[in-house]
Amino acid sequence: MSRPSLTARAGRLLRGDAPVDRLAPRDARGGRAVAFLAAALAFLGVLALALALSTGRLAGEWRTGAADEATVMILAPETEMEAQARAALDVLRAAEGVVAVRTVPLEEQMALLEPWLGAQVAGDALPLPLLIAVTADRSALDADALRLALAESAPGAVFDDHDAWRLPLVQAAERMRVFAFAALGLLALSLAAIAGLAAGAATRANGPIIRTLRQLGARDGHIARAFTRRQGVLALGGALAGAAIAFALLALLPPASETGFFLDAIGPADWSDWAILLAVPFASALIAWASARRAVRRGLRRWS
Amino acid sequence: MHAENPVIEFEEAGFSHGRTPVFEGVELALEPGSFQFLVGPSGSGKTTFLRLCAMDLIPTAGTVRHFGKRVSPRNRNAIADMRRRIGVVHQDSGFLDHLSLIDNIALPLTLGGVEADDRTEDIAALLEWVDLGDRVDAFPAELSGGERQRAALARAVMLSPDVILADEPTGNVDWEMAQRILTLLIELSRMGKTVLVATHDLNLIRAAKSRVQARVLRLAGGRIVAAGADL
Repeated sequence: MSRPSLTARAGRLLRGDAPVDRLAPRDARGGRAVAFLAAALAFLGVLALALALSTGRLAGEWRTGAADEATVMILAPETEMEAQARAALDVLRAAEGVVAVRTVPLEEQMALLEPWLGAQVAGDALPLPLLIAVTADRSALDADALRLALAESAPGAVFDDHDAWRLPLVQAAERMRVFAFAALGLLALSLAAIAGLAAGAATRANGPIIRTLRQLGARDGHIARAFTRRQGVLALGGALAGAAIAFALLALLPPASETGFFLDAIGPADWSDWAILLAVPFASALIAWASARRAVRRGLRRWS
Repeated sequence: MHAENPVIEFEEAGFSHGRTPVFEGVELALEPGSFQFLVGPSGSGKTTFLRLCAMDLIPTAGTVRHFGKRVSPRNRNAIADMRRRIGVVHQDSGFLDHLSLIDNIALPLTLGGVEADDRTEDIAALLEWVDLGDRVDAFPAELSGGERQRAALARAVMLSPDVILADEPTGNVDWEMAQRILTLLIELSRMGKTVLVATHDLNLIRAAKSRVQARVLRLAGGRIVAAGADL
């Protein structure tokens, strides 16, 4: 007997094959419990994958984007402030790896502080340092050498490359991504285990039917298809429903802001993220069907 | 000496349930188109022997060849394909209760990948042959013992197999129905099918021997021997 092509087999799986489907009693094909479970797990799976994608994106942004930004604070007496600032700017402009420097105006500093301290705090009431924003090429910049050069020319200059807060955030985001993928893996394993158990139980409960089918010349693949196709289709329906609810919730989240503020960035960032998330219900159905089929085929070995 | 091209051939074959031997040292060849009865007391191993012939069991000693080949029990697809050349009428009929009679009869077609719709006329003719033309939509639970046996026979020959194995096909029917089933089996033999019937009904054997050249095999004491003239 020639083996049908993969496309033909996939088509037959989705379209159904009424005579073969009828071989298994309707209540023996399982599926409703698996469909409900596939819905719940696809819902959680979409959220877990969305979290994994967004934390991965954040970690990437914090690792590369923010790494190019640095600041130099001039903490000096009023009389020396300008001289030290000039000296610091000279050192920065001469340093290898520094792409651009600019003095941050007082108004811009106040705007940065406003969300934390409020608009009513006047500039004069708060002793603010002079701030220089530095854009650097991290691969070419020697931060320690730059610190030494600044200390020599402008003792009040403090170079901050943001590593102190950036690196822990990158680590935290990466850990969250690992946790999200671990959760996704656990969900997949749970679905596979339950679909396999349901199919195995159906196989055991229908021993006489399977024995008759084998005696009439049924190949294992035929019997497995009869006992698992409907379960696979129901799992797909359930997973699509669960994923649709998760998509709706994700769509309600505020869009990822340019500031990269963590909670703003949980949802999908673009169409490629949505496309990846859309794979979850199909992967769920595939896992449920493949696990059920494996369980049935293993169970069939009891019959000669 | 073995016959030429036997359809089923036993070579020093034996079968044991654990340490209890059912039979051993069986040397037997079923020739194409031959008609055999297998007799023996209850528990002598007739059903076990038929299951070996149907590839439902594998011998615990010796060899059983089907159509000249010894198929490994691990090659499940090959066993399945070979089983389609063997039609079996089970003692318990072995129907799928959730399917109608016509769907049960068409099962071998379904499993063989043949569209039953393309063979509607064949199925109808087969049902007429076993006199069940008016019962196509009945479910197995609605059939009498005789109807079930005739339906099982119809299903067994659906793919025109080379061998027909029947396990007590007249066990649950009256004499008139037994005669009808016997006639069907003799017709199959005349079509060139190899027929092996396990039975304890000696009257059936006597009735058959007047109509067809039948060999009677007796299973007793763990051996298979040709039965004597008492039959």
